[in-house]
Amino acid sequence: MAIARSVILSTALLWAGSALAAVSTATQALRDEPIRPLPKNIEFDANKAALGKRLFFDVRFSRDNKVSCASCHDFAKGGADGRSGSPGVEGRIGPFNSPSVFNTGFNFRQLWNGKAGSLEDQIDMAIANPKVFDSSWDAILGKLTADASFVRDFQRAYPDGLTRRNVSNALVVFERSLVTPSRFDAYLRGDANAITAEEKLGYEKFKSYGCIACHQGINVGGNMFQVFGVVQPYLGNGGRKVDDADLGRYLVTKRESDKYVFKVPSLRNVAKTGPYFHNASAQTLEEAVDVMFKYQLGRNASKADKELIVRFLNTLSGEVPPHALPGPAK
Amino acid sequence: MRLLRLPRIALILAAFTILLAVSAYLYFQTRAINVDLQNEIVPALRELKALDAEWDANILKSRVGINNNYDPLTTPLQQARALRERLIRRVKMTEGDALEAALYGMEKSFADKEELVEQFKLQNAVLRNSLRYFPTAVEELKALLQPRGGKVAAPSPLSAAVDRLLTDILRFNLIPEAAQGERIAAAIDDIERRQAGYPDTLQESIGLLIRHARLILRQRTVEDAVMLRIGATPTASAIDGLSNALEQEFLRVLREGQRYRTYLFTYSGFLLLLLGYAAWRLMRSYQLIAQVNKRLQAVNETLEQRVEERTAALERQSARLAELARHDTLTGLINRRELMAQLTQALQRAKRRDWTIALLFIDLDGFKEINDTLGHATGDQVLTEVAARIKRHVRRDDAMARLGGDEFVILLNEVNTSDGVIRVAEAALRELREFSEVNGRSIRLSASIGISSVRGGADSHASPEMLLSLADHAMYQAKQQGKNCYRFSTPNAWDARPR
Repeated sequence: MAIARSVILSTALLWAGSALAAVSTATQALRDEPIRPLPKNIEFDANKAALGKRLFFDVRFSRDNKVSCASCHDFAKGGADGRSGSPGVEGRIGPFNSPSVFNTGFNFRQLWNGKAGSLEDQIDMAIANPKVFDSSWDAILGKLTADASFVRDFQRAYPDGLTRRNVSNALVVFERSLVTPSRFDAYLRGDANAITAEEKLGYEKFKSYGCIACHQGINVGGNMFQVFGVVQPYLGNGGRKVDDADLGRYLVTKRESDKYVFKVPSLRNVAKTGPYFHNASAQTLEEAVDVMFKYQLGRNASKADKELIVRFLNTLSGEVPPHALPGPAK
Repeated sequence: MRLLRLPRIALILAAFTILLAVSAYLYFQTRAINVDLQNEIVPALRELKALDAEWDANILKSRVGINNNYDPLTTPLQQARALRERLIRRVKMTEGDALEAALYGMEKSFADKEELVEQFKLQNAVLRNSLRYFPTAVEELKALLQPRGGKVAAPSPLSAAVDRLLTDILRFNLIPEAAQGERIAAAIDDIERRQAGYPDTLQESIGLLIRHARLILRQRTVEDAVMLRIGATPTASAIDGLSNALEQEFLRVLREGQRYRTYLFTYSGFLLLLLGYAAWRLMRSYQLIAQVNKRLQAVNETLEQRVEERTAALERQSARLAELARHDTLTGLINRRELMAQLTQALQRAKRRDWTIALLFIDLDGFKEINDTLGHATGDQVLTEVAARIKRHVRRDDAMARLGGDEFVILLNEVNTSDGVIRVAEAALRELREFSEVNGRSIRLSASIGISSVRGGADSHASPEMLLSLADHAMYQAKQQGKNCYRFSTPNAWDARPR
């Protein structure tokens, strides 16, 4: 009897111990995943970000005072605009599908063809681009310095006040603060219940079919270039009809090998940022996944597997940070 | 003079400014080495090298598949870029072509490497994807080739061919030899040729397999080529090159600073010499001034002395003149004028105090004979002796004068009785009697003495001339009455006074 009791007791203890161990593993962050979670806390200067937010919504950046950064990067639409081409000054439509502004601080370069090495460069290019703002720093600074409240607030945030460098910096500080942690980040951090079993399965498919080869890292992409049409040509050479924008990185380097090479886009918030690809050639996520399978992976997959992958992609939609929401900054 | 002086001041000012500017320039040159610059550049270079090494390690990790994402290949880039920008800004502040060239070399190699790493990521992702899929693709194709019903049949030749292809491709991935690559390519071509004999679904699967096989074959070669080029990109040695160039530059600046310090030292010596010269000039000026002053002082002193001497001489002369004016040169007795002055004063005093004063008029008897017989010189000697002898009997308050020739007058103050006067007169007579020899020659002398007197309070009309005249009269009387005697004038002061 005594022996039996002690066995029961020790079994109970063992059980309890293993249960505890299970709990602790449940909250343990997943290691060695090719996708890395977004940082929990982004540190930034709140004054500068508040200025950046005002600038982000300021139409004075455009020559005709009608277009702001937010015109093409709508926070309600995943930081993009849901359109195939975005209307700039005088409704001129740009050649590219607007990418999301969210999490761009983690991209290794900016723009579809990586033309901008930094967010600052991207701002300069948007200002000078006749199909976006069609303006110049001189014109913009002229308008902003006429605004006493801007001048005053810049004086508070920067020792040298309202300058080109500081206006650009305030915008960049704000953009870098636009980080959208998602359910999937919570899962990576160890919350096993943050995503459903199907979504987990979708993630496994995402990895095993090889999507992960390019869409990896902290931004699920955004850290490399890739040919659009690895296995068979998607653009040109029997693929789709080609225009200038389709030449990709070739526009920057003029190297033959860089034709149809694009920055691998981040898949964060991808479910909200349709249509897809630089030319908005895929209207839905399903279509985009199909194109990827055919031209990039060169594989066949069942409809069910693709659906699972789409479900996984939905877990990458994150929360817009509170300070970026409409209304005065706190 | 003013026109000449103005440019001189300007010249001095200009010289001073030039001296100041030269010393400032030399001082600035010695300070040219910026320690902060070195303190900032050297750690930045070290950090950059560490980043580069970490980058290399991560490229290798990605190559062998230890890294499952490319973030480690991109995130250090931003850090490296920021570091390089800082370096460029700092290096641009210095000078030196070698430094510029080294900086350019480093920038070029980093840009090249960045580009190569981009290519590597692109190739590596495709290769990894195909490598991961290829065994599955082979399995799937073989499953499709398996006849339905599960009967074990002889494996189809295609199945055997793809099995061999799988093995060869995996081996090629590990050891990418060109000859092996050619064989594999031939095998793939062979499979492609057979493709047409199969149904559509199989054809599609075979097509995928062929695509991935060719991708692996191509990507492996391309990736290795990229890896070789990355390995050949001299970022590390470029950083070392920049480091060396910086060191050379710092050494050069250091040497230059040293050289300018020597210049500054020499210059300071020169300035000291200049200062010494100025001090010497100043000292000499002071010495000259002192000498001139001394000479001037000496001249002044002699001048003063001479003035004093001259003044003293003049004073002596004037005293002598005064003496001469008041005295008789032969006997040293006062002369007539002085006698009259003293007599006037004595009269006034006598009137104030009601004294009696008396005048004794003495005229020598027989002096003419002495003069004639013994000569004038002896006569003068006699006169002098007579004066001295009689003077012995005259009080200090009283006076004795020689009026000229052999006439003497004695003024006696405060003689209340005639006894005092008589005593003086008799003493004079006695002296003359006793004076019997001069120069060994016997002489005989006597005198006739007239005495006048006046009582100050009694006779207010008495005058010196009157007193002298009275005494003269009395002396004549004495001469007429036999000489060698004295006679009082009438009336005399004591007669009117009752005893």
